[in-house]
Amino acid sequence: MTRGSLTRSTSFSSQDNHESDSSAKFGALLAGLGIAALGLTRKSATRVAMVATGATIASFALRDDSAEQSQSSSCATSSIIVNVPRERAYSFWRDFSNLPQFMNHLKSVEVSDGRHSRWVAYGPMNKEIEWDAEITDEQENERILWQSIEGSDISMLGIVEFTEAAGKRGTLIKVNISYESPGGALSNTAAKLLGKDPSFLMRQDMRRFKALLEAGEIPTTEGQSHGPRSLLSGLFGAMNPDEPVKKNAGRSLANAHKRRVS
Amino acid sequence: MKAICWMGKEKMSVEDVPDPKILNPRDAIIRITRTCICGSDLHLYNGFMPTMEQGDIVGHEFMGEVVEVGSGVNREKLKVGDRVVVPFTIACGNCFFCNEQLWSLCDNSNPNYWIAEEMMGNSPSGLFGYTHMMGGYAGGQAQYARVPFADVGPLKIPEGLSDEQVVFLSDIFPTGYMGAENCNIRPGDTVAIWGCGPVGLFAIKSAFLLGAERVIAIDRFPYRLQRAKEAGAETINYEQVDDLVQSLKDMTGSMGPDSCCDAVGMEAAGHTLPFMIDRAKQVMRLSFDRPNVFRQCIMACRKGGTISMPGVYGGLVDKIPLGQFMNKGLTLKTGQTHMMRYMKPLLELIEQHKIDPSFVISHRVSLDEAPEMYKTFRDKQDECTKVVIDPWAESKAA
Repeated sequence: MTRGSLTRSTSFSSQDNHESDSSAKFGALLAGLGIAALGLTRKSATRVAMVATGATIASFALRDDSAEQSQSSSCATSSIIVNVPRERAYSFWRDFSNLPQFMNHLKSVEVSDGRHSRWVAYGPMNKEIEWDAEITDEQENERILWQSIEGSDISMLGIVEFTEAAGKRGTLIKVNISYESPGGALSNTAAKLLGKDPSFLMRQDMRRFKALLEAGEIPTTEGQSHGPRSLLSGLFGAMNPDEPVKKNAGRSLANAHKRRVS
Repeated sequence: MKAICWMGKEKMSVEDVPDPKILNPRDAIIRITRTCICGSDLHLYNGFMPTMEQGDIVGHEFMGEVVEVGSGVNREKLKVGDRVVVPFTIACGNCFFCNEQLWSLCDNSNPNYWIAEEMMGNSPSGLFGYTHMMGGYAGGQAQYARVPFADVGPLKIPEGLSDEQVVFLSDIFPTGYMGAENCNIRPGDTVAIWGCGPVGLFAIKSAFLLGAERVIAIDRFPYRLQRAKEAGAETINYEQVDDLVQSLKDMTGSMGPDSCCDAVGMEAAGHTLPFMIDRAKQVMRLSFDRPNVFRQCIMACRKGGTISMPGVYGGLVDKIPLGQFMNKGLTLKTGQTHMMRYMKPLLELIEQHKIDPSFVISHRVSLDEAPEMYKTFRDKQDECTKVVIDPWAESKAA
C-alpha cells in the first residue's frame, strides 16, 4: 500500500468520491476539447479565448491530482493595504456581520454576542452550509482569531492582523482562513476548473474590502445596459472564477445590497 | 435608448438598449449631448483588443447633462442639471493612486481587476466603453450613460462655451497635453511627434504651449500633415523619405530630437521588415502590437532624451532595441491620461481663448450614421480627422 492510498483510506467515502470525480473529469475533458474545437472554427477574436479556455479545462481534466483529492481542507491567505486608519479597518472587520459584503462565498454572518456568531455560506449547487464560530483571541486594532466551535459540520480557523503600512499608506491587513470539511464543501467549481486556488478568491474578497472602506462601495457593472449578447458571453459568465455561486435572480439581488457600506 | 454596440470585429451597430440606471450610490446618469469616436475605439473595431463581448456599448469621449444622482454623490460637487464633461478614466478619489494624482491608476474602479492583474501584474483604473479587462463599463456612444464615482470625474462647464469647444476635455486634449508634458520639454527644445491624428495635433499645440521651439510632425496622410503644419509644426511624410531616422537627424544637426512622442501606438503602419513580421504575428494572433514607431523613437531620439508614449499598446512586443535605449540613456514616460489632473487647467486655457479644440473636428454625424464612420475614420477616407456625434440628431438619410 502506498502512502497516498493510506491517507486516502482514512475517509470512508473516498472511493465514491474518486469515482464521481473521474466521471466529472472526463466530462470536463470532453467539454474542454469541445470548446477548443468550436473556437478553432471561429474567425473572430473570440477564437483565442475559446481555445485557451477549452485547453485550460482539458488540461485540468488530464492533470493527475490524486494527492489533492486526499485533502478536504483549503487554506487561503492574502494581504492588502487599505488607505484608512487601523481602527477603521479593525472595527469594520470585527463586526463579522460585515464580512458577507465583501466575501462572496458567505451568505450571512449573524453576531449573537461579543464572541459568538452564526455563519451561512454558499456550498456547491447553492446548498447552504451553516456553522457557529467563536472568537478565541483578539487584540484591539491588531489581531482577531476565530474558529468554528467543536462539533460543527465544517471546521474553520481564521486569523486577521492589522498593522501600520510603511510610508503612512494606511493599514496593512494580512488574513489567513482555513476550512476543513468533508468533500471540500466550499469549493468553487469555476475557479477550480480555471486552476484558481482559494487564495485567488481571498484576494478578490480583500479587493472588495479595500474598495468598500476606501471608496464606500464595490465597483460593479452588474445590471448595466448592453446590446444583444452571444452564447459565448453566457459561457464566459459561467466561467468567471470570481463568482463562487452560479448566478440566479435571488443571488444577484443579494449582491446588490452587499456592494456598499451601510 | 439608442447606443452603439460592438457586435464583433468590424461590426459596430446602433441597438435599442434599456436606459442606464443607478447601480451604486456614487453613480450619476448623464443625458449625453455630444460624444466622439476615438482612435483607440478603432483598436476595438479592428478586433485587436482581447476581452470584448458582443453587445458591449462603446465610446469613452462624452459630455452632457446630469439627470440623476445616487444617494452617495456629494451634492456640492455634482447635482441634477449640471452640464459636465466626463473623463474616460474612472477614479474613486480616495485610494493611494488618486491621492497621488495618478488618476488613471485608481485602485478601486475596475470590477474585473483580476483579469488585468493576471495580464499586467496590477490593474489600471476602469475605463468607459472599453474591454472587460478594463472594467467593461458601458460607454458613451449612446443617449445616456451611467457614470460611477460621479463626484470625482465629471467637470462642470461654465456657460458661454459650446459643446464642441469642451467635449475633447473627455480624452484627446488632456491626452495630447500629457503626451507633450511627458516629453520633459525645456525652452528651446525640439520635439518629434509620430502621428498627426487628433492626439498628435493636440500634442503639437501643447508642446508649443510648454515651450518647445520646434516641433517635427510625422505621418503619411497629406491632409493630416497639412493640419500639423497649420498648428505650427515642420512635417515629414515618412513614405516619401528613405530613412526616417536619418531625416530627423538631418533636421537636427545630427543630434536627434530632444524628445520623441509616440502618438500612434499598437497599430502603426509601415513598410520595413520588422513591421511585416509584426503584422503577420498580429494576423496570427501571436501578438497584439506593431511597435515600429516606438523602435523609431529609440533610434531617433538624442542621447539622454525622453520618449513619451500616449499611444495605446496591448501586450507583449519584441525586437525592441533595448540595448540602444539603455546605452543612449533615454527616459520613457507613458500611461493612460491622469485626466482629473489636466481637465480644469485645460478648461481655463479654452476660456482664455488660448486654444479652441474644435479645430480637429472633420465630421459631425448622428448615432445612426456613426457605425459607418468607423470605417471612414480607420481608412482615413474623406480627410477624416475627428468624428463628433450628436446622439439626439435625426439621421440625414432618414
